[in-house]
Parts: sequence; C-alpha cells; structure tokens
Amino acid sequence: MEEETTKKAEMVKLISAEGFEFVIDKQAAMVSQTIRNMLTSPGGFSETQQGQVTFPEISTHILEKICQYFYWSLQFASGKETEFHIEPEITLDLMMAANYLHC
Amino acid sequence: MAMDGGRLVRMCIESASADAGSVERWRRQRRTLERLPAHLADALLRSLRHRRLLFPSLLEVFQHCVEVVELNGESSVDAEWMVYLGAFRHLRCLNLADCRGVNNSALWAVTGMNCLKEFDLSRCSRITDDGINHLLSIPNLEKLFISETGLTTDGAMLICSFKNLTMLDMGGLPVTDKALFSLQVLTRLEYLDLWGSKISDDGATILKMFPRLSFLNLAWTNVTKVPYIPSIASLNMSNCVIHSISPRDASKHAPLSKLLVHGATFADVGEVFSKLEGSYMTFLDISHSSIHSFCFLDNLKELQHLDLSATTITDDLVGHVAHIGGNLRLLNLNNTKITSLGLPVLAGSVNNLQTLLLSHTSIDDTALSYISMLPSLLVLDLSYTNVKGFIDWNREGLDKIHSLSLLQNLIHLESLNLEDTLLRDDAIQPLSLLRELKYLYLKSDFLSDISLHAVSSLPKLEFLGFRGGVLTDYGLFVFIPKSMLSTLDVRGCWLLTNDALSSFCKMHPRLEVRHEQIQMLNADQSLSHNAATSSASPLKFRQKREKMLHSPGRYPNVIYADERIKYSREELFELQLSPLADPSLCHPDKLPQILRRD
Amino acid sequence: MSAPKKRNFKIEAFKHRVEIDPKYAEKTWRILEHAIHEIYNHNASGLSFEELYRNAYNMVLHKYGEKLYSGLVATMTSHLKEISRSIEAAQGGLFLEELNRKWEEHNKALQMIRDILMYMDRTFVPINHKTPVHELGLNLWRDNIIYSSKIQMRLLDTLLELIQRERTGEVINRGLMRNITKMLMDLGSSVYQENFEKPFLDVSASFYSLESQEFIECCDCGEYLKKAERRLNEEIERVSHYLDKKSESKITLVVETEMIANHMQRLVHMENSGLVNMLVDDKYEDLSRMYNLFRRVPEGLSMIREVMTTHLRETGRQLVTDPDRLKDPVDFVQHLLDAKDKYDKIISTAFNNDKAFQNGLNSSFEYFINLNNRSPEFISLYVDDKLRKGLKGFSEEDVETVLDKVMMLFRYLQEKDVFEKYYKQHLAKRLLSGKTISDDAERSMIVKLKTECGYQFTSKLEGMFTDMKTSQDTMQGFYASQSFDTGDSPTLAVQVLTTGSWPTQPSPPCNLPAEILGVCERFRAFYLGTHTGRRLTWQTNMGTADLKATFGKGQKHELNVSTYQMCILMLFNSSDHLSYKEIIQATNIPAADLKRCLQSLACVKGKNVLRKEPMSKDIAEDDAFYFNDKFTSKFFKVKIGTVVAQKESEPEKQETRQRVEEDRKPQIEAAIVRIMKSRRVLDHNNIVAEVTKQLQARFLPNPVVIKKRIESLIEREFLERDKVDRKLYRYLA
Repeated sequence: MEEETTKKAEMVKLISAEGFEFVIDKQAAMVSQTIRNMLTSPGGFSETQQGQVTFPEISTHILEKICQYFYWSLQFASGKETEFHIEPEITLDLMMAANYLHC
Repeated sequence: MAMDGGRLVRMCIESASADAGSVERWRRQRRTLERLPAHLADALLRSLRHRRLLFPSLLEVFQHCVEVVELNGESSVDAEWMVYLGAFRHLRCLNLADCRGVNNSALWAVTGMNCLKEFDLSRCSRITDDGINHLLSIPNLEKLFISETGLTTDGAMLICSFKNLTMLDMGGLPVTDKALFSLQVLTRLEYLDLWGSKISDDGATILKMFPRLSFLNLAWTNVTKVPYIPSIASLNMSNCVIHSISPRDASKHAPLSKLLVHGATFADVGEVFSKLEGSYMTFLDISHSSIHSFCFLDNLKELQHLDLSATTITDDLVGHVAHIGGNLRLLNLNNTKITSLGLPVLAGSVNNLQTLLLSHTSIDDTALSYISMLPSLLVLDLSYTNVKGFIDWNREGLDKIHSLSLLQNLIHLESLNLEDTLLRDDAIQPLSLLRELKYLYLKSDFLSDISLHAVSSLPKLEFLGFRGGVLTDYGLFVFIPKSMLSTLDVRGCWLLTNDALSSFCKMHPRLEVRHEQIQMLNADQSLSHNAATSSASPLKFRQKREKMLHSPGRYPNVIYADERIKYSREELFELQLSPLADPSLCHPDKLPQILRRD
Repeated sequence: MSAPKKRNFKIEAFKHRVEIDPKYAEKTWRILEHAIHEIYNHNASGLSFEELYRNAYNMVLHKYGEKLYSGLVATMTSHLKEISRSIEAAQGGLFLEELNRKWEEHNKALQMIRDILMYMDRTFVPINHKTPVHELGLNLWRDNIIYSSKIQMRLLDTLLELIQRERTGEVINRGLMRNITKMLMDLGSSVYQENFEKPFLDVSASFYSLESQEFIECCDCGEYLKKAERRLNEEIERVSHYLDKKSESKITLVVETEMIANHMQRLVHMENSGLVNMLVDDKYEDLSRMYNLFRRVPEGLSMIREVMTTHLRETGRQLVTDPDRLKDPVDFVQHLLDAKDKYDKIISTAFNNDKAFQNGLNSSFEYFINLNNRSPEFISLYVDDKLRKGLKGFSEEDVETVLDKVMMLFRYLQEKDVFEKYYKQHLAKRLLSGKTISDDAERSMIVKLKTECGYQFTSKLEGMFTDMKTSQDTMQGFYASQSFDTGDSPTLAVQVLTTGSWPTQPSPPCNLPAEILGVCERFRAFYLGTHTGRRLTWQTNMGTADLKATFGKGQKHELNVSTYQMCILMLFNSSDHLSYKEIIQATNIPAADLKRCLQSLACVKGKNVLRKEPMSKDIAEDDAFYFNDKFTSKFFKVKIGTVVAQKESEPEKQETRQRVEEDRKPQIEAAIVRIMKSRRVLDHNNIVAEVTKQLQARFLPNPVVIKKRIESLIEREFLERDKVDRKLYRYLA
C-alpha cells in the first residue's frame, strides 16, 4: 500500500499504534469529522503539512476496520445499501475509536 | 457526512447488544470497558436493557463508566441488582420507578454514592420510612421522586437533610403538615408534588417559604387556600375544594401561567379568579369542576389551552370563551351541553385554534360550516356526536349537502375523529378531500367497503381507524394503502376471515394491521417459532416490543402524568391493582397530538 | 436480601479505577496550554493536531473537563489582555487597522483551538451547560477588547468620524469599516447596536437636521428633493457596503424624518417651485421624485394627493364655469379631455399609477364636471361633432381612443339621462341627414354606452339604426314595384321612423307641392299594402331635397335644401315674386320655421337664390320675395343650410330640461314602488336614501322631487301614511 502515494493531494496516510500505515482517499478519511478537522484546520498543523495522521491509541485491526467503514459509508451515501458487519469482539474498541474520530 | 458522524458508534452499540452470544464475546474486555466514555456506556446499557439482555452480574462491567441508569418498570430488579449498582462510582442518575422488587434493604447498596444527583423511586411500594435512612448518605441529591412508595410522615421528615434538592415528588404519600413543616429548609426547591397527601391549609401556609418554587401540585389534598408563593408558575389544585389562591405581585415575579383545577369545587369561582393576576395565564384546565358562572374567563386573555370538558358550559355561556379566544390553541368541550348553536359564537373569534374537542356533545352537521371557519385547526374530535354527513335544506331531503366537504376549508387538518357518529357510506366520500390528514378515526356499524375505499386515496394518512364496520374479504383485498399509512385499525370489523387478514398482512408487510383475529394469529405463530429467531416480520417484532413496554409497568411512559389526574383517587388505586384492561385506552396514537409526550 | 448474600456479588472490595499518574491532569494541561500559546504566537506549524486532540479527549474522558475548560478561559483571557494593550498603543489612524488585524488573528487562533478541543465541545460543554468554545472566544474578545475602557469610546469615535468624513465627500477605507462592523455583529446584535448603531443614528439625526435646515433656506423644491434623494441613496449604499442590513430601515428612517417629514409642508407649498407649479409645468421628474420620497413618510402621499385634488378641483371649476368656454361646446369638452390626459400622464409617469391618486383624479373630475349642468349636452355635442366630421380620415383605433375618452367623461356625469336625451337628438339628426361619417363608429359608441349603462339605455338608439336599415330595404322594394313608371317625377327617399324611438316633436305636415304629393301617395299605398294596420305621418319638418334650378344666364345648379325650403322654392316655378303671407298660406309651414327657411334662402351671401324686399337681415311679415335671377355660384351643387343653432338656445334648453324632469318622474315612482313592495313599511329618509341609491347610475334624483312623487303615489293609493308616525309610509297592495 505504501507505494501508492503518487497522488499525494488526494490521498492521506493513517498510521496505527503499531506503526502500520493505511493510505486511503482523503475523501474517505474525511467521513471522520475529527480527521476532517485535522486536515482542514488553519495554521499548519503537522498533519495538514504531511498528509498523514498517527493514532497512538488505535491498534492496527481497529484502524483497518475504520478504513473499511469509511469506504462503506461513502458507498452507502451514494445509495448502495449493503450490510457492514462488526464482529462482537471488536465492538467496544471500535466504538471508542469511532467516538474519538467522530464518525 | 458530518451529519451522520455518530453512525458507526450506533452500529457498534447495535452489534454489541445483538444477542446474548455477542455480549459474551466482549464482556471480558475489562480494560476497554473501564475506559469507555460515559455517554457510550450509558447508551450501551440502555440498548442491552431494551433487548432484554441485562442481568445483574453483567452490570459489574459497567461500574467504572456508566453515569445514567434507567431501569424503570423492571420488576426483576431486586437487592442483587442493587449491590452491583452500588458499585457504580460515577452514577449521576438512577431511575428505579415502578421497580417493585426494590425494598428497604436493597437500598442499602446505594449508600455513599457521592455523584448521584437524581433518584427516581416512584411507586416502589416496598420502600418505607426505614429505606430513606439509606439515602441520607447521598448528600448531593438534587432530584428525588418517591411518590406512591410506602413512606409516611416520619420518613418524609428525613428528606429535609437533602439540602440541594430542587425537585421533590411526594405524590400519593399520606404525609401530613408536620412533614411539610420540616421541609422548609429546602429553599432551593423549584418543583414540589404533593398530590393526594394529607396536607391541609395549615401546612400550605409554609409554602411561601420556598422562594424558587415554580411548580406545585396539590391535587387531591385538603388545601383550600393557597398562600402567596413568590415564583409559582404552574399550580395543580385538581379535585380540591378551593377558597382562594393568593394574588401575586406580577410586576416582580414570573406570573402564574398554568393552572389545573380538574374536578375542583369552588367556594366562589369569580372571587378566586378575581384575585389572581389572570391576564398571564396560558393554560387552564377546569374540566369536571363544579362551575356555573364563566364570567371569570373574561380576564384570561392570554389563554392558549382551555379544558372545559364535563363542565356546565352551554351555548349561552360560550360567549365567554369567544371573548378571550384570540390566543387559544386548544379547546376541550367534550361531554358538555354545547350544541351546534354554540359554534357560530366561537367561529371568527378563535382563529388560532389548533385543537377542538367536541366528543360526546349533541352537535350536528350544521356545526361543520362554522368549524370550517377555523383556519388553523389541526385536530378535530367529533366522536359520539350527531354528525351524519348531510345537511337537509328542505324536508323532503332533496337538497342534501355533503356537510363533510365543508371540512376541506381546514387546509391544515391532521387528525379527525368521527367515531360513533351517524355517518353512512354515502356521506364519507368528501373525506378524500382532506389532503393533509394524518390520523382518521371511524367507527360505525353502518360503514362498509365503500367507505374504506373512499378514504384510501388520502396521501398523508398515517393512521386509519375503521372499527366495527362491515368489511368483506374482497373489500380488504382491493384496498391499496398509500405509502405513508403505517397503521390500519379494523378491530371489530366483522365478515373478515382469517385467511383474508393474513394474506393482506403478507401483501403489506410494512403496515401494522389491528384486528382481534390478528392477535390470535400471532399468538399461534410465536408458539411455533422460537422467540429468539431473528424477527423476519416487522409486525411480530413490534408486537414483542410493545409487550415489553407494557407488561412490566402499569402505564407507558408517554402519558402517565396526564392520565393520573383524570381519575379520582379511588379509581386510581383500583387501576393500580388491575392489569391494563384496554391498551388502546392509553395508546399514544389515540391521543390528540398536543397531549402526546415523546 | 441480607448482608452475607451481598458479599457474594461484590467482586471488587474498593471502588477504585485504573491507576493514573496523579500529575496526569496537570501535565496534559501544560501541553495544551503551551499549544495555545504557540497558536497565538503563530508558532503552531509543526504541532501535531492528533496529539493535542488526544490530550484534550483524554482529559475529558478522565473527568478533567472542568480543569481543561477553566484553563482555556484563563489562558485565552491573558492573551486577550496582551492584545488589548497592543491595540491601545496603536497611534491615530493605525488604531482601526491594528484592531482589525488582531481580530483576524484571534479568529484564526480561535478556530484552531476549537478544532483541537472539539471533543470537549461535543460532550463536556452541553452536559455541563457551558458556553461552546467559539462563542466563548467571542465573548472573551468582547469583554477584554471591545469593552476595554481605553478602546470602547475610541472605537466609536473613530467609526463615527470616518462616516462624517465620507458624508462630506472624502474617500475612506470601506473594506476596513466593513470588517470592523462585521466584527461587532459577530459579537452579537446587541454589541453592534449598543456600541455603534444607536450612537450612529443619533449623530446622523443631528447631522441631517442641520443640513436640511440649510438646504430649505437656499434651494427651491426640486433642488431640495434632489439633494434629499441623493442623501438617502448614499445612506442605503453605505449600509450595503459596510453596515448591517438591518440598519438600513433605521438610518433611512432618520433621513426620511429629518429631511422629508419635518419639512413636508414647506416643500409642497414652496412659492414658485412647489407641487402646484410642478403639476402646471408637467415636471414629471420632480413629481416622481417627490412621490418616491414622500411615500416613505407617514401622511406624505396623502398630502400630495390632497394638494393635487384641491388644485384640480379649482382649475376644473374655473374651466367649466368660464362663460367664454361655454360658447364652444367642442372646445369645452376638448379642454376637459386635455386636462384628463395631462393628469393621467402625470399619475402614470410620476405617481407610479397609484390607485389612490387615480381615485382622487376621478372624484375631482366628477366634482367639477357636474358643476355645470350643460356638461351632458356638451359631451354629446362633442361626440356629434366628432362623428359628423371630426374623425374623418382617422383610423379605427384612433376613433376608438377618442370614444373611450368621451366615455370616461360620461362616467363622471351624474345626469346620465340628460346625456341620453341629447345623444338621441343628435344621433337622429346625424342619421336622417346622412351626415354620419361611419356606421361602425356610431355602433361602437352605442356598444360602449350599452356596456356602461345596460340595454335599457340604448334600446331606442338601436331602434333608430334598425329603422334606417328597414327604410333602405323598403325603398328598394318600392322602386322595384314602380319600375314601369320612371318619367320625370321626382325621386323619393323615405325613412320610416318608429314612433317613440325617435326624438320627434309632432308638427303638422306642410302642404307639399303637387309633384311630390303624387309620389308620396304612391309610396303610402305601397307601404300600407305591405304593412297593414299601420299609420304613416309625414314629418315634413325633417326631410331634405335636391332641386335642379336654372338661373338667369342659363347656368344650372343643384340645390340641396330642406323639405320646407323645397316647398317654398317650388312655389317660384309658377310666379316670380310672392309675399310672406302668400308663402305661409300656400305652404302652411309654422311661422318660426318658415322665417328660418326664408332667412337662409334670401339672406345668406352665396346661397341667396331668393331676393327679399326690403333688404334686411330679419324676416318680417310684410316682406316680399323674388326669384334671384342673378344668383351665381362657382359650385354646381349648392347646399343651403337652415339657420340652426347647434347649441341649444336658452328656451330650448329649458324645454329639454323639462322633458328630462318629466321622464324622471315615472322612474322615481317605479323605484319607490319597487322598494316599498319589498320593505312594506319604511320611513321617509330611508326611502329617499334607497331611491337615490337605485337611480344614481342614471341621475341624482332631487329629494324634493322624490317627496312629490311619494305624495302623488299616496294620492293614487299605492302608499299610505302611518296613522301614528307621519314620517312612516306603508305599501298598499
């Protein structure tokens, strides 16, 4: 995934607690109100400059699920109503991450 | 996307409380649960409760995170639950209303809960004076609800130690003046409910000591004189004998805006009202009260809500209502001697009226032309009247006018009740002109397929009541509900067969159909299926939920506050013991919109 | 539920939670506080948003929300105090710019701070009823900057001074002004109102009060209005550039009050340039300006209207009562029409077609037209003139326009029945003399009257047209039947007029010459042969004749004369001179008519086919008449008119008046009976009122006449007086 950073302006990099990197569309990442603020707030925060955000408190498998949700949410908004399955084991952690990311 | 920002959170809560198996898969994640933000924890707990997945030992995992617990109506809550709840160190609000399993010793567990601000023990009848002792170690309590518990004067006197109380509900307790005297130290009180207590005029004099008191309920007490209370805005004196309500200096304080005197007896009604600064009053309920003169209404120019049901108001006296009608939003004239002759007086003066209730009066079709002159009307109740749908201009009946077509002038009308009127099939057609109608109630032995089809075209109809009519299987089969329709009530319609009903339900799965045979149908089905299987039919799912709402408590949340005052004390206690006889009586759909509470 | 059982459930002995560093909150806050400092010092670049957000998130989660919030308030306040000092230190004109710069910086910082504290805003703030971060930042700015004792007055003074300078023509930095007022609005509408708008309005009021005083002393009305309009537009423009939209109505109210309302009276009545002068001189632009300015102030338009109608009534009254004007009816009506056109144009171009003004115009016209009771006659004469000759060569549309205008005047008439009477006479003359220029125009006029007044009004007029048409057909039939007998007997053209449709006065027929009598008798036989049961009477006073005459030197002329004149001239076929008495005996023409005929045959130069002795203008009973051998004319056809006054003479007028009054009697009686039939009992005043109401479309009945009619009806036992109350009448079936 790391190789796909050609279109830098359109993509952002999300880094998990363990250091795994997810490069996703900026549009998808902005499903999260928190990430939207991070990438659009004025004043030149490092996230805006580098196009990447590190989440030291979100583990890799949760962040992966979050990214899946971003894409699912875009699809859902465009009228494609599929089910988004959440395994019961991760519900609590995912819920907290979702709360943190406001999505 | 910013708008539905919380969707993933909601989906997680749903997934976490999908079934008992799901719960088992996350409940061991102790560390995560400890870090759970309070509002998420509260929401998760609420969801588990609604899905009947909550049990005492599961509570333990929430002890560090939850702030609000609502278990009202759960009869299974007992000492075991309470022990776990006692460990909720951040608990801010605990609602145990109608939890009959809670007794004095169970309350021991809440000792020392420093964060608890709001505690509802309403109708926990096993709580007595001793139980209050356990609460004394919760000094920060701000809202306490102990109505209809086993408390007596002695217990009530202990309440004076909750110095921060702003809200106290002691309704239905046999407490005396002595208790009230002891409470005068609670100077922060804003809300005090004393209905059905043994407070007398002596005790009432103390009420002036509460400088912030704005809501006061003295219904079913022996209080006849209400003293000057500086901040009072809402006063309930229903079923009291009233001698005087002290005048207040409106220039200094928020004036009395709401007065309920349902079923009250007045020594001299004119005298009582002449002393009130009535020009600020917006809400007045004098239903069922023994009043013969209505002159006092003339000063209440700001009234928006006026309930005159079951009073002695007549056509001759209705001019008093017209006189102050400019601001009226709701007018209840149910069970009065008002006839069609009284409506010309009202038309033209109550132009902002949104709700007009004329049930159980002898009005007939000639009234409709005057009702149709009330442009803002949303809710109209004409049930149990002499409306027949036609006006005969001459005796031969040759020039029949469809009187219901007059109602099409009411371009905002949303709810219309025509149950038990003299309507026949040939009068129904004009109802299809009421394009904004959302709720329509018909009930008659004389209506048939034709009438059902006549109203089927109403585009915004959500609820259609068509009770007691002559419906055939074919008539139901060709009835095509519009997409907005969510409920079709055909209870009491005969000729319909089981097969026709069930195939109709299958054809329209989103529609809730009410009929005696459907309830039997469902009972059969739920026997054959396992209740735990996923709810394929929304109909069944709804039935299940409704059961859960109704069975544990006596009243659904939505309306109990209003229902309470409509019964005499004896009736009320009787009701308390009987199972809910007719759920339709208090179904929210039946209520006029204005009375509904969500 | 006893104690031992309880212990089984108790899993943790103590109520404690995950251990955290006791200094955790303080440490975390330091990080955030540092970040806020950096943001205010424009050093935020490179800070990690995620880290700051996470720290704020964790503080709230661990229930240190209060510490975070109060820390924010303290930090932001201290920064704002510093900013306040730097703004205070700014010199002169730099003050506003510094304020604006710092405001922009604060806003940017505030947005960043709000973003990193978003979680607090979402959860902690609503539950604890705190002010959200953005609003908090604005409130702190307001309290520490705007309400600072060293800034508050200085800011206001600076703003007001700049506006004053702009009013005197200087160019100021509008962008800066906009930013500053926008700031005040962002801080809440009350901040804008208290700290700028109210003082601004006060200062403006005294400015315009002074200026308007100055203008009114040295300008004429038109000039003053121009200046006021410019000021008003300037203020509206000012609002659009840099004030709150809601200020527009307030500042325009100030200008309107000071410049218009306070001087309205004086402006309207200004000598030589006031409203009346503008109306007289058709100053559309000035009038339009006055209208648009005055409509903004209470009573403004009603004042213009008042003055306009008063002026109009006065000039109208002069017009219709001017004895010179009465000499020429056509000119009289033309003046009315011109006045109407003039004011119509003023109202449409300058007064926005205002309905109230149109009503004022109409009521004025109605008022003065009816001041002269000859108006109905004159209007009919005007139409007569137009339809005889005035409209020759006009296009159909132009004819319509003229007729429509006449109808407008007609609508103002109270005595429509008098008009009808005259119109009938004039129409009859036009039709019988064949003088009408266009049948279409005639019919169009009838249709207009019909739409205006209904069928009854025009049925007789239409009857006249029908008669004309039938007569034509009858004549064709007559000549077809007489084809064998051509000879040189005279050609007859008969118009058969239905009795009652035409305004004829019965006059005894004169003795027709034998040649004519023969053909007339043949026609009578023909007509009665086809229409049995009718009676024909010859109206010899109304016809015309064409005569071929040969004079002394053999020159031939065709003479166009009236029937009476023909009878006279035919006598000269058999003798050369006749006395007046011989003529009257031979013809049996009524004396007055005879005199008029002889006058036009003998006394008009160029038409004098007869010679009179003695030569004089008037006809005397002992005059003698000779065939004028020496008659010459350069025309072959000579039209010899009858000397008739177009306008009615005084006695004729009296006579018409009388006839009108006679005609009104049955109408009034009919109205009284109609009313009493339905009401049965009614008192006198009410009858008068109702009768007037019923009849006013045709005329205004005189109450005295109504009273007389009531008495007449009582006599004829249609009504009776109440025995007790003499004012009460009762209908007798």
